[in-house]
Amino acid sequence: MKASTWTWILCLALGACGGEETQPVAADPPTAESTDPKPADEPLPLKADANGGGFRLELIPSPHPIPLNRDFSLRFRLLDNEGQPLAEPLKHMALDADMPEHGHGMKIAPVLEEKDGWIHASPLLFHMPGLWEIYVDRTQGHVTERAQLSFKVY
Amino acid sequence: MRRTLLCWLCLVLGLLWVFSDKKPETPVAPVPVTALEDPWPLDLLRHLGPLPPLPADPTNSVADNPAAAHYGQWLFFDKRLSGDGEISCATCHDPEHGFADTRPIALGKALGERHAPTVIGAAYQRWLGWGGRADSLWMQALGPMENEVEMAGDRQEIAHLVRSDPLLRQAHEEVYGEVPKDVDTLFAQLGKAIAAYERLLIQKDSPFDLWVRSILDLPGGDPTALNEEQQRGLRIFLGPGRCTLCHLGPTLSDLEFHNNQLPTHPDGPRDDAGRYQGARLVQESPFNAAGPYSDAPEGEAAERVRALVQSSESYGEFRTPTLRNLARRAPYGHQGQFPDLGSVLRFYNTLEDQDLRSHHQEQLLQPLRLDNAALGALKAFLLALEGRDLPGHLVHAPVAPIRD
Repeated sequence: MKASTWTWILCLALGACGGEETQPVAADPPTAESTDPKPADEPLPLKADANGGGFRLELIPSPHPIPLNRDFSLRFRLLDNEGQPLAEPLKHMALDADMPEHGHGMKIAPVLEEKDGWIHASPLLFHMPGLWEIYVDRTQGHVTERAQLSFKVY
Repeated sequence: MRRTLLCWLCLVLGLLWVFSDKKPETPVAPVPVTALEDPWPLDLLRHLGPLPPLPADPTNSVADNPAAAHYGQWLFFDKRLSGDGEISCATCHDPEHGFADTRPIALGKALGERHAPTVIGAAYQRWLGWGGRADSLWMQALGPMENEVEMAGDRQEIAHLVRSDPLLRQAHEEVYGEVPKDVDTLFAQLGKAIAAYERLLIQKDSPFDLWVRSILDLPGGDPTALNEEQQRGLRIFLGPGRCTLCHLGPTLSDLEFHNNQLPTHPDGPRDDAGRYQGARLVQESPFNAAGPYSDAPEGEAAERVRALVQSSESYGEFRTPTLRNLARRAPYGHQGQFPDLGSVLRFYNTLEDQDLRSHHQEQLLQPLRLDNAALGALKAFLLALEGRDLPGHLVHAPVAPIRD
């Protein structure tokens, strides 16, 4: 039997012999479940709720639909449950994008700037065709929430 | 308690899987080759061709200046730019071999670490060099001049040469006005002139370009430009060959970087940081698009280089090469590890000799397992990406650095 097989058995056995269940932490980590990609004719702004329900993301790519392998930019805002923009939206906020099927993200990190009630992010580049996800994470205390949008880029 | 039960269940299922004779095989090449009469995926084809006009380079104010191109052509072949007067750009970027190198690993003043890629069509690239150490043609042209294993020159001596050689000085003044006192400015100007020449090294109107024009109802098309085998190869390229994952865009490259676990050439280093190092080099250089020698330090290219990330993901990644004009520029790969096209295709077909190193690697890579007929068709298509020959006057040194 290969060493990898023994590793499997060992890992399973160790997992099975675990002790008491650990208590859930104060905040669940953001999930990375894929959402349905937004159709190209989805009206703007595109919207997504954070996984904890703490904020809503409204996002406008430019150009729209997002082009393959060409620089583009985003403007987006984070709204509370009353539809009001969150205060200090850039504080403890992160933007990222990833190809979940490929296991990699972008090669660049966009610059974020708050202007006219929106956060402007530029440049972004989706260099490969396929499913891309944009993540907006916001951390308050021990809780990080994620709003995400999926895009098919061709 | 529930968790413990779940774990025991996992253990039992795991053991059943381990001792089972019927393990699922990794699915490969799930996309069938479409028949010749099937409709073509026009949206995909539009990404591949025909070759569009060259993108502008606002970082280089003389990018499309004919006098600069002529001066740059002289400089490209001028061995006096090297430390010992024996090496020019054309030494490794040989016009006889598609402006690439016949050696797997480039040999300048000393043996390098990578293969010298083609300059033909380089003006379409977003990043230059296998690791993307430059963000413009002109920045790329400066690197080898002072690299100790390439031309091993010195910008002070090169500046002295330009100031003291009457013809060089006259050519420089024709393009830029007065020769600048600042050595770095003068050095950057030399790179920009070489870039202006390199922007002329474009082989247009390949059989694929002519054929795709007809398919897309564009003027100048020729539906017979690809024969049946080449069309079958194109369908494999678009389908089960999975080539367009990276080779997508008018140069048949995504212009970005991947770690495809290529085998190491015996003369090349096994450990090469690739893009990880290139990203740092281009960001740190004063000659990048955002730097003081750029003619558009607030432009799109400058914004991109500022946003570049030196991520551990990029360790060992190399730029996706263009697939245009392959015929005359063997060997292939960032270390020239593949002596011919057949060996490149065999590698991707079997992943034999794949060098599995640490760090992030391309997850989508899997053996294609195409048969010989399919590989032959794929090769036939790739060779149909050969554009028309360059005009004769561009493939050798001009008579003088200034035009008649």
